[in-house]
Amino acid sequence: MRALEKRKPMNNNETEIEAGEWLARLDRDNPSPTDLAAFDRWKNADPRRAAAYARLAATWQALDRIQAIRPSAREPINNDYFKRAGQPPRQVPFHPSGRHSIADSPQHLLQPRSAHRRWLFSSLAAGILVAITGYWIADKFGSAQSFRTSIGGFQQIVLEDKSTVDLNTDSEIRVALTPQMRKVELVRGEASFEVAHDVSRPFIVSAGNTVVRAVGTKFDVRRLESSVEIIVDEGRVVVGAPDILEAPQTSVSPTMVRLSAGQTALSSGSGVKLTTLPQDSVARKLAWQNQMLVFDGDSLADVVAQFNRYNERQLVIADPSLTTLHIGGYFRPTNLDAFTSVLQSNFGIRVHTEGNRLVLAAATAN
Amino acid sequence: MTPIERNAWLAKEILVHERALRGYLSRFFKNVADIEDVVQETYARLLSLNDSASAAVRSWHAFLFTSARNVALDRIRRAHVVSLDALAEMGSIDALDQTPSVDEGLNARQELALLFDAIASLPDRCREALTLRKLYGLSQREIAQRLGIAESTVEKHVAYGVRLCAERMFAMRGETRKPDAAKDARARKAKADEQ
Repeated sequence: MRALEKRKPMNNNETEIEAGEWLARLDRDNPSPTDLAAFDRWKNADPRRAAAYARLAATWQALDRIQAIRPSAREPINNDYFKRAGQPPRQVPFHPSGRHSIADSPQHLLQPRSAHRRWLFSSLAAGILVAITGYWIADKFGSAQSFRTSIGGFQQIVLEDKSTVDLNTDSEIRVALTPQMRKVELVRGEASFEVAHDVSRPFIVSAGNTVVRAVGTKFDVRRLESSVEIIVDEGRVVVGAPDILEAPQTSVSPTMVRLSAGQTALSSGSGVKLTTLPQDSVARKLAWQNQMLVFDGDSLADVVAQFNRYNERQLVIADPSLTTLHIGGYFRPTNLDAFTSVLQSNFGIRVHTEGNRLVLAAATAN
Repeated sequence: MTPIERNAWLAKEILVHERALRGYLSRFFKNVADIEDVVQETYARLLSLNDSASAAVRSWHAFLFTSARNVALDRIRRAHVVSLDALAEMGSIDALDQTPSVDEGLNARQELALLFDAIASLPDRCREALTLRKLYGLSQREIAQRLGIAESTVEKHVAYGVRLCAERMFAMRGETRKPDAAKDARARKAKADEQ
């Protein structure tokens, strides 16, 4: 294994080895009283043994947090969920059908972007682009490609210029690359763009009457009911009306707003409103790229609205007193069962099913 | 503290500095086994503190490095062969001045990425066993049945896997030690050895 060869020699003293053996022994279903007594004798004979064991026990406990990315119970167990990318992939990196099963592609999670992209490129070289040619449609810009996801779906797309697009739940884009311009229309939903640097071909994202222009940067665009939200993760972009398209690419007219990393803008008919977000908040908002939802004291109403973007089954708050509950933690957006079980166990909220709705109610007083 | 609270404290306040601590100690000990011994002994001292002593500690980072320096000094004094230079250096250098600044806390994504990376780096069968145990919550017996291997083999995978994960998560986290510092340390040691 590559990973093994690269690894440094690990700690190998006797105490460390024994501590690992004890941890594994006590991790069995029902360690016997004999084992427990023998463990105590072993541990108490030398404080360094207790220390080595505590270090491994702390590691073992920390590993439980990986359950935050546990796939939904409906998905089959994948013995090798964490298999590294880089080995010949067993799945194509994206599904033209949009619906992207989480268990299919653990490589998409949390991998450093560069490694991830290398893997995607080699897949592309292998001709996987062929799979999406069925989606070519003609429009007024010449030929454009269309990509869409269904509710709960996620798709990563590498464009010909090596820019990448992450497509969130229930979203659609149309892509038209010409020698003068790289143009993406966000038809609905949310998409994040990592734009390959190319000064000669501006990268333009349009969403309704809002247009975002970039050269090489990372940003996110989401269509809301009557406005468009833009978050800049790296670099800078210009936001304005469609006349950006006609303007010289370096100019910024009074009707355009310049946005840099950490800033977010809400663009609507009445103009562009700019705010600056803490770094942590940007990371939380963009956690969907790792197919996660991350909350930090968000109101239950907001949390429910987020989950409802990703699921056909809709959460409904029956009790107005619940809307202001504060929720923290990470969740799989498509794993409603995990979320509702937290609501039940941690907040005493009652959950019952009505058709396609999951109704949340406060626990009764008695 | 309950064991669960203690484990959480250990991971959050102490183990996150282990890589830096090992880097610091590597300037005085050539042998990985010596460093390992000093780290274990230092943790043992920390864990044996009573509640009032613990409550008085204002910075666990500082306390950890000071304790490690004292353990290392004891060890060097006991081993009569050590060079006086090394001893003088050890005694005069304030451990904290020489260590990288405190690591910034990890955000949720980074923390998960760290865990993900630790499990992903395991050898094949070991990785499968830990995936089933930690991600899916299967028991060792269920894992044995599922993978068609003996329960004792699963136990061995757990024993080995947890050690590798500890190393990956804490001992070599980030691998950001400055190459220059390591080179300087080697040069100093080589010089000390000549004398």
